[in-house]
Amino acid sequence: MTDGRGQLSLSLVEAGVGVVFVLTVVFGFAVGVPAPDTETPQLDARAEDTATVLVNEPPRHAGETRLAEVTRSRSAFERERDALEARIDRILDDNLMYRVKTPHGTVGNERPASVPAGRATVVTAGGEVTVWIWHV
Amino acid sequence: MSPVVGKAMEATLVVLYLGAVTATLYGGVVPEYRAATGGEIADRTLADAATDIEAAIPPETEAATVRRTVEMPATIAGSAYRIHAKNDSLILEHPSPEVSTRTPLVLPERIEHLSGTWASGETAVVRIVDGPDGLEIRLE
Amino acid sequence: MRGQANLLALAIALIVVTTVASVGVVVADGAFTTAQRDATERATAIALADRIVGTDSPVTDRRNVLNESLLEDERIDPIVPTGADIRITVDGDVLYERGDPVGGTTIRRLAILSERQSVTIEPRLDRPVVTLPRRSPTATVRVDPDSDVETVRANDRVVLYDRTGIDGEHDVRLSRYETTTLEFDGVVDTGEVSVTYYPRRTTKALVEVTVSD
Repeated sequence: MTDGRGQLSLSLVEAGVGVVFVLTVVFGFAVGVPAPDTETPQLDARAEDTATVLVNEPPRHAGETRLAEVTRSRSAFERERDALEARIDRILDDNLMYRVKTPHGTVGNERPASVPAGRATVVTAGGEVTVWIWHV
Repeated sequence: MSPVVGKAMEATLVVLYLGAVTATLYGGVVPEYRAATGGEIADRTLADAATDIEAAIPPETEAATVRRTVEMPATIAGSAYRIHAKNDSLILEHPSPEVSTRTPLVLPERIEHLSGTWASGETAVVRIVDGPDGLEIRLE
Repeated sequence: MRGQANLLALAIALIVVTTVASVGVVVADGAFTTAQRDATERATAIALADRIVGTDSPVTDRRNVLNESLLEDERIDPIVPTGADIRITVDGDVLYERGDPVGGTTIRRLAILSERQSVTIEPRLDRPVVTLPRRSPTATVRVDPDSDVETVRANDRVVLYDRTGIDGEHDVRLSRYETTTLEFDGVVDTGEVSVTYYPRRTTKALVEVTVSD
């Protein structure tokens, strides 16, 4: 495709440039936009629901609600934490893990940094309680 | 064949080619994509508007008048549009039929009346007032 | 000759560009399909699920607490929006269905299902004291007329008193925060007194709302 002067045919070069332009634009939509994160809002809703259920539960002993009982004091927390864990395990599905932070301590697993997690906070008489939920 | 004639033929060929490609793209593919994109944006705009309206409804125990501003894009697919409320759903009207869409609104039983229209480009306000039979939602 | 060779090169170059452009259009088509969102379906499903488990829902006692006796499709029908196929299930059982929402968006909310049971106890002859093992907002006390009971106390608070002897069925309000012990003064024969209380059994329930446009 070279003419006598030893240069590359102009048409080839032009075609090459045209192809590069088109492929650049195509690359833009082949990569596309990232899919929307629908997982986190669902997990947020689940955390909110879990916190609401715990806040409104009747307590095991005295006190207004289960969460109010647990957040009343450090000793109350230590005494009730197993029951709280058991209750949360019953409420949540098996494929979800949780972490609940109260002013007197935390129950649940460590939250992995890379996994999307939902979170909700409620205010009780003893302080703020935060619930994180993520998929196993 | 002299080089000038050759070049002239090449130039003509290129011009014809460009004309043909432009006509094909703008005749078929591009308007279709514009309408499809516009339809998607209209869907999302309408979903956001519906969510905003539903979120503005006050809880049952409060007697309140609510007035909230709602954000909307100024144009969709290059044209202005309108959103109006009818029969417990929101309808987005747009000159292009592929972009027009509707969505149902989830409203509690306390809501007695829903009416009003929003025009794109103007400030969109939702007003909820206590009427004689129940709550009324007005789009202003 | 060179002019024609150039023309041929041009033609081939144009064909190459055209091919690449049409590949681009095909890729654009594919990219557009993956970018579709179903925004309106999702918004409707989220809003409906929120209304169902929220405070002013026709089927809940409190936020996120469904009352089992209220779970009927006629009660949900007023808040379900028209114009889309919808299915609502609680713990897998279909509560409401209109059309067949295949391929729609599903939103899940966690709630508690509360069922009221009714349990009757008859206190024994020698110990006319009844401790209710579960909390209950009210209790129904039935006393036979010839049993001669004048006072009934709940946790040392007098709830029923009749100088001429209590007789018949009476509803009594109980404490919400403490376990209640009912005491009957006087000697009671077996079967003359019975207490019916209404504990609530709660189980977790997953509410799923599927909406298809």
